Amino acid sequence: VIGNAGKEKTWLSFIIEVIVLAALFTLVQYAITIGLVNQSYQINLASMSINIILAVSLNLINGFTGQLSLGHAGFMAVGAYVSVILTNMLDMPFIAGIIAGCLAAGVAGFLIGVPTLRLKGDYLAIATLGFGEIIRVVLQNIDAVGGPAGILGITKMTTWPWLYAAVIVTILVIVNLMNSSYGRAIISVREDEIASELMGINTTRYKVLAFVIGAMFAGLAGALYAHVFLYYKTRKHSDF
Amino acid sequence: MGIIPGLKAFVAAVLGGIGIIPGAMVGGFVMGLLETMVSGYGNSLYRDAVAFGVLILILLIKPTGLFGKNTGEKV
Repeated sequence: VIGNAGKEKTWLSFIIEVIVLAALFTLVQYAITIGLVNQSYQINLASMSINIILAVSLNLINGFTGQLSLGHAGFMAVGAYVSVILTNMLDMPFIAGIIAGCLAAGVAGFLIGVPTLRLKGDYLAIATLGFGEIIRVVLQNIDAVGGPAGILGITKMTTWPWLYAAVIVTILVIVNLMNSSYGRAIISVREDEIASELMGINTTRYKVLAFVIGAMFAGLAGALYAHVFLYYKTRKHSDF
Repeated sequence: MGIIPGLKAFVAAVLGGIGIIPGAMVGGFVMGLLETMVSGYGNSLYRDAVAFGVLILILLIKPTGLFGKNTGEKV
């Protein structure tokens, strides 16, 4: 999609895309309803969708912006914990949990991104990794959310419509972002930071923007993850 | 499986400045002392967090590490 950014998109192709997406959704939903897709396959579907969201959001930071960030699991943990606190402990609806998880992860990404994105290469990698570790250690030491054992007894809320909608929203947002002037600025930062700064691009601003959007979608993935696998433990994601 | 010790070694090297041998040694000393102090006087659960926190502080104040030389960038 990135390649043919100059091409005019017709209404026909848009309608065909919508129909194909809706048909895929309906097909899988029907298969789930009549019992063709059993529990095991549903878990696989959830796992696939969540990993797609994570990979696409990490690709925005590591691939398009070219900033090696190793703290993505930390943002996922922030999103998962915030959403579970809202849905399970405060009895809020799932959508509120998802939005709050995204926003919390985005705020965490902003707070981490602003100081660390001045660094380059190895230094940026180790600083983001360090922040990811700090998030893990802090979450593990809050007894209100289960301490090192993690959160247990989460109500299952993530269903196929949620997963499908989340994947579509993630891909749409990131593809449209990369096709906009913001996207071209982000790619220019990756290709040559000094040259793009000379052309008048505020490189720090675009790096932080990409970082925050990536972190928000990691938070979304975390929120969905916690409500489908029904427990969340920080160790699982940082102990690679 | 050895990830954390490996990371700590990298942190020590960055702390002193990458490519500078005395810096790496001093970085190792600082990391070791710091972790022991935090475990002894504070909360041993926060040991890793404090180690990485100090690293980030150093990187923000002096991005080349404690003994690093400031070299200009060639364009």
